[in-house]
Amino acid sequence: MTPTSETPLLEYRDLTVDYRTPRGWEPAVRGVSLSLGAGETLGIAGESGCGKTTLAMAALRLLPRDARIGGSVLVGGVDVTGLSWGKLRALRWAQASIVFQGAMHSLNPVRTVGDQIAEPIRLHSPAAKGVPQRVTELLAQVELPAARTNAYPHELSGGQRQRVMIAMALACDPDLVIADEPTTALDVVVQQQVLDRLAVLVAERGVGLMMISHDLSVLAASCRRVVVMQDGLVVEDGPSDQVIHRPQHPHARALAAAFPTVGDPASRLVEHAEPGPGPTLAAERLTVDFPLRGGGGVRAVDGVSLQVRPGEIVALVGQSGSGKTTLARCLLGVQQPTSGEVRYGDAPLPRSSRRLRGYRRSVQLVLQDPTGALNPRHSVYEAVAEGPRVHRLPGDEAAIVAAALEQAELRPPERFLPVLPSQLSGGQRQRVVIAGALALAPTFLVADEPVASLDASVRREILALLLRLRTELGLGALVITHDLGLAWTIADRVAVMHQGRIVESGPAEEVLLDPQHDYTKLLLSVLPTNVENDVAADPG
Amino acid sequence: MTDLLPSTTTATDLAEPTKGRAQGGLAFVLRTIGGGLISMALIVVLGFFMFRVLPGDPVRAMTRDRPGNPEQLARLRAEFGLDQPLPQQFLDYLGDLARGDLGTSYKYSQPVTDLILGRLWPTVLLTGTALVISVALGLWLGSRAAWRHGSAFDRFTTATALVLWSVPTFWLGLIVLMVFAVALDLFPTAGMTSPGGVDGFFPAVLDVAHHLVLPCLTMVAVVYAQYLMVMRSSLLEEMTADYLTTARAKGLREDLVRRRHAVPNALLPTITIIFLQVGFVVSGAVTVETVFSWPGLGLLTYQALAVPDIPLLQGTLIALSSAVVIMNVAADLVYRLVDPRVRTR
Amino acid sequence: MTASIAWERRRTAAARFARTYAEQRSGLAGLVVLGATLVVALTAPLYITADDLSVITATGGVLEPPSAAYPLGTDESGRSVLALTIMGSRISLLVGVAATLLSVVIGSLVGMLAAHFGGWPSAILMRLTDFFLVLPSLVLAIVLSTVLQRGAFTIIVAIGVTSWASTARLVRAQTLAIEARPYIERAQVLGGGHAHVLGKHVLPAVLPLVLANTTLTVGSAIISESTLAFLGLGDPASVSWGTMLKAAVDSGAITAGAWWYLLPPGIAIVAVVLGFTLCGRALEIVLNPALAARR
Repeated sequence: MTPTSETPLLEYRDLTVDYRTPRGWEPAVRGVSLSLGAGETLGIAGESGCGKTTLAMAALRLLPRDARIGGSVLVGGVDVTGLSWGKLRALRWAQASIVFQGAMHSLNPVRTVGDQIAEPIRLHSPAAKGVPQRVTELLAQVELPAARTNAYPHELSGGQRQRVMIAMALACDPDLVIADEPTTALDVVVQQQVLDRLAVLVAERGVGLMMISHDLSVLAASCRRVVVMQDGLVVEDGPSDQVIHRPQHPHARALAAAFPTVGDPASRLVEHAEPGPGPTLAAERLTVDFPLRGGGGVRAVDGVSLQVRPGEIVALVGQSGSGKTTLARCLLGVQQPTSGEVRYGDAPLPRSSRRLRGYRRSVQLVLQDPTGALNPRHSVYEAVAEGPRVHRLPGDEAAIVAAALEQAELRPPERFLPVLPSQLSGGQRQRVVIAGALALAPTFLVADEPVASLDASVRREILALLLRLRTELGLGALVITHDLGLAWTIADRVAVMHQGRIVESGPAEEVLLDPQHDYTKLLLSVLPTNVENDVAADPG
Repeated sequence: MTDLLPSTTTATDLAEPTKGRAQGGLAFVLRTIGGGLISMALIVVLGFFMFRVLPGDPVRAMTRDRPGNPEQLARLRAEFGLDQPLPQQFLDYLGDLARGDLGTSYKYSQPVTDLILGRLWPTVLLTGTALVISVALGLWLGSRAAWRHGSAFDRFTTATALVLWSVPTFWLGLIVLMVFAVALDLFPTAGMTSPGGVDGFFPAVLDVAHHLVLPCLTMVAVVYAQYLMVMRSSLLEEMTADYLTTARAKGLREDLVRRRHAVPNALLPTITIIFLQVGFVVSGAVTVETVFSWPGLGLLTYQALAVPDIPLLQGTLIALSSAVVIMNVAADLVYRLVDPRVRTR
Repeated sequence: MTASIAWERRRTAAARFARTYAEQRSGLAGLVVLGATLVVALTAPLYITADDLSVITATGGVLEPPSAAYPLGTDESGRSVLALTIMGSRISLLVGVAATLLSVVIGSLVGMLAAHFGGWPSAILMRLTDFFLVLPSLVLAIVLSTVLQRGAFTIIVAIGVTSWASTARLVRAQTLAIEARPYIERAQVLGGGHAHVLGKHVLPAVLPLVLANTTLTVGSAIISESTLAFLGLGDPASVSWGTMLKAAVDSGAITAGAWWYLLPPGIAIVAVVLGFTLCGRALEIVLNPALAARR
């Protein structure tokens, strides 16, 4: 099956792809030449819109009809751009398969996973016998029990669905597997399991792997060679170790810096500061239960005590489902705790909505997704003025808004006032959200994954802004994140949350460099940043 | 009359409640049947209050066109039990209903229950036939139109459906009647059987079929257009789905991508809407039966409202509404067997 | 400063709206049909007098075919079918629009309240909505207009209170979708109450959808009106397209082959309903450009 060593599995020769838009042809890929040999692993890194997914789709000619392709794409030495539909269909999946991003949507919701894995086998070798056994075998390879054959996609967890996608990709024994963001939206621990599985299978079978991700650290862990793309061009190309640690191109440097290494002093932006005067925000023995349909309940937060002192940045770290967002909602007074209380200064949080309103001026929220956090119909002015209007703040509204925008470093403010969120970049939108919070002159910010949805190069700027606000305005913050690197970058103290409890907390250096609890150790161990070790362990 | 809007958004929104609700099997069955029972109870209450509590006086409405003397009115009131206090009337009504007694028709002087049972079969025949043809035609044309989106075929079928949508059922019936029954004399103008009857089983079946053609054609024309639009828009919605890209990447031919992956997903919301819209078909039956004098429940409703015969009207309201509610409960239960997203989890 | 920003934004939004709408050929056609109908309906009393519509003063023969004097022939009383069709547009449009407004107001209120305040009141509202959604609304409307005093107002009420359920479902779904957006949570954390969230965020986002929905519903309401009138439940004192068709059937126009009496009111209904439908679909595309790819 494997082609001779001279023939690359996949080769792009000066590939260009343009999409037709109302404004004319927009280039997505602008002349990329790459090649991948048998058993090699190649990572493609880049931010959203850099053309990396288009590259993957072009390999099997899956681009939409309004795409224009130039140059050539060779799969096993055959140019797919000129292939007849029949030959192209015969090549698809049999020679090269794709692990798509977002397995929830890439699997058909009304057919069983076994059925969907079997489909390409039956299609490409109609005479094949023992297909059910083959499906069981494939599921076993991705460590799923045979009983899962009859499951529907929605009955599986995110990690299990992604494994099904991998099993499906291996169904026809292809020479090449293309993985497009295979672990995005998965928890770190699950992400590590999926990546490990993929690496083992690739090594065992000697297939070529092209992996696409926005996260350099993920690529570093599983690929020997990494290229960085920007605006449809390859700007950096080299062994992964070199690209991570000694990037040449400024964009590659920005990408590498965005995923800080825990323990690396260069990535730690925070300077030690003594807590300032003012009230402390605290949760005391807080418990939240959610009733379940049909009786019973789930304990989301279980007797948690946590303090944020004035001017202090605390990172609350945990995986999804650990209860960290529920805890934050309690601190904001949006969620009523089942027992325990939230204290601000000396007083417990008021329960009446009228008195809560006063509290809300002091503790403000910054959400994960700035696109969703801004009403698309409201201009920047209206978005920032919303808080002052609700609270009927005295003084000149326009002046308050301008000052808030200035503090959020949207300068000059006049330029941004009439603009709608859709006309701003992701980083600018997040600044507008922050300005909206600052307009109320709060003493604390609760920031829920404040940079998770932003492009890598913007993350650092927003984090720097949070730190500057702390220094200049004495603003304290509770930063909720799944990302230990982020905690390392900006937090004074770190609290690790697991299954509704805080299992470890303390100064960032202590918790992250000398973890005591097993869960913290686990989280640190699966961080795909320890580049040298992983590449050395790569059996390829 | 067209409850269903020609809107792409509606297609999924209306289908929303049955989709993606996580429940255990037995709990779901009990909930669905419980919901149906509540709806039935609402119908019963509605049937009572519509005729007794609303500002209109049923006896005056019934004698509207004939000046009646006070004694007659009083006698009628006593006959309907309207001289009793309201709670007593309600209890009597419930008791009668429990015994299957819907009162006595004012016009026919027969038990309403007997009248309704006698007219049930023609309505089932007409709406059943029309429904089967419409569903088949609508789903087939709709999925073809969506798959060949923007083609001449698509534009033609969509335009036809939009026009048929805008046609009042009764008017279409009148035109069909005038052209095919009166002017061309191809089909009978009224009824379900020829006057005087036909000898033999097969000739009798043919005779009914001959009478069925025009009313059925009229109903199909209006009803299939809706199903076509719903099927088309829900398939168009599926056509951008990621799992279709997966299917293509596997090397499937386009028609397999459509038949195996896109259509099964588009079919499920469509079926829900078809059942939600059964009430619309029943409404159509009232006008079609009136135009073609088809001796079913719709014509009975028309005959009752012309008098107006309040007990009979109340009876047909309860009968038609209950039938629709029962069909929807059955549809919900069947849907759960068909759609894995609702069945398991 | 503030006012001018908001005003400027609305002006550009309106211009963009008009431009996108104008790109829809079928939507423009619908608009033209509706505009023409509206002009005809509003100016009708200027050239059609009460004498033209009176059975006593009618000058034509019984069911006369079209001629120079009567371009669309005459009815069973010798009145001009053309004059009747023109006058009929007034009641048909009035009832259609008024019934729709009633239905949309009920539906939007129920839908928004059910979505915003969860819990058992919402459960009851949705139960009621599902009930009305499933019921054969025409049968219900027939019963209502039989029991109530006959007249245009009764027809409006009968159609309005039986046809709101799908609007309620639509508005509820849209409200739920809006309220799931993070900016609602942000507004709450900023201190906004129910009134603020509903008034500033939910209502402006739901209204365009309601507008498109209204346009589409008017068509159905006009068909319902003509159906009720055809069944003999219309206002006997006024001329509408439905009452004309009822009179045509009662006077034996079908057996007489008097197509000129049957076609004009029916075609008028189809044209106006189609006009509303096309406008509604065009509005939907303007509000949700993603739909354009699916039309």
